[in-house]
Amino acid sequence: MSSDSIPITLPVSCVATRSAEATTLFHELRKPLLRYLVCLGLSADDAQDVVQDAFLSLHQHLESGGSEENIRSWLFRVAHNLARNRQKTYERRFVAPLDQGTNRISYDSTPEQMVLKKEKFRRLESAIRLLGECERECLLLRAGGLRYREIADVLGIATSTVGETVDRAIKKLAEKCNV
Amino acid sequence: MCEYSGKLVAWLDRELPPDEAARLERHLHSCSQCPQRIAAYEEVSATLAGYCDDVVAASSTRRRGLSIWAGAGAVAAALLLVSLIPHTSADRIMIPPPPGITPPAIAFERAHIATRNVTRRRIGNPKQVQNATEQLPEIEIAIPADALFPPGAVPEGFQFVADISIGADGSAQSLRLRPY
Repeated sequence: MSSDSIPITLPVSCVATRSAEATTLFHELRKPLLRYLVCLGLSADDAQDVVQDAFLSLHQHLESGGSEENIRSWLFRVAHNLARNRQKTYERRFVAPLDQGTNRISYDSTPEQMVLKKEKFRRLESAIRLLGECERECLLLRAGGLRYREIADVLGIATSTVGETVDRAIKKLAEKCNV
Repeated sequence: MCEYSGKLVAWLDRELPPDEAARLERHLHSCSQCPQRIAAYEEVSATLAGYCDDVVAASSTRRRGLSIWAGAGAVAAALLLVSLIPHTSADRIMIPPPPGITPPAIAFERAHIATRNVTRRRIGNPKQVQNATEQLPEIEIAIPADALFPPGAVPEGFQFVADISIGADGSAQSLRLRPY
């Protein structure tokens, strides 16, 4: 290999690695992100748009040599802030009538199981409505598989606050749902 | 209230430091309430996860339903449009114009395009032109189907090939998706 090929080869391989990393992250995190955004109250279309914009930002971030540290929470934070900018639809899920949500037909359940499940979801949704915004967001991010430290990064709060908030929120839900 | 009750959720989430987690686990053997609480918190967490899945599925179903209605609406509008177009225009295309009358603009345009194609083929040796066409670089752009369609609308791993017509100015003229 000639010595003058090194400066060209290194950046190309670096870009390829970063591109591959972005692709891996896309496959790993697209569905959890969509799930989080839809549960927050975005429509499926808005959520798709936000996820797309978030991954575009990730691509630009990596291309410009941005830090790869805590990239999962970085991506969730970008998506969270983009969702915040669409504030009009952000709260829709928890002010919409209950019937609009849980109507999925599950073919592996008996009718009795379906009724029980639906009733359980109704109670849970009523309980979620009573939670504070931060409690709700912490719970949904936790349901998306994020660690407390990552949730703290996304919401810009202390990790200890996340622990206390999740604990309080889970206890409230358990109490209201009579579990 | 048990002194460990404030740490049960963190323990479930594996967020406690190892020494604290070990202390709590020893405590669980002697406490009658904490295991019940842990079971309740686990059930709430599982219900919440199921609820989130349900909300996502319901929203994509609504979106798919909306797409179907939008598609049906578009087809209905197209049919209505076709029915509103006077039949005389179709007849005019089908009946050849009498000699001496200028052909319709659409026929002229077709003839013009055909002439241009013939001229271009005459430029080089037909074999060379064919080889040049075969050697054109193919650009493959991978777009996951679930980035284009709502979740669940397309089976996992299903792929499309996009045929893109590029105009003389380099702009995309049309895009057609077909199963890969």
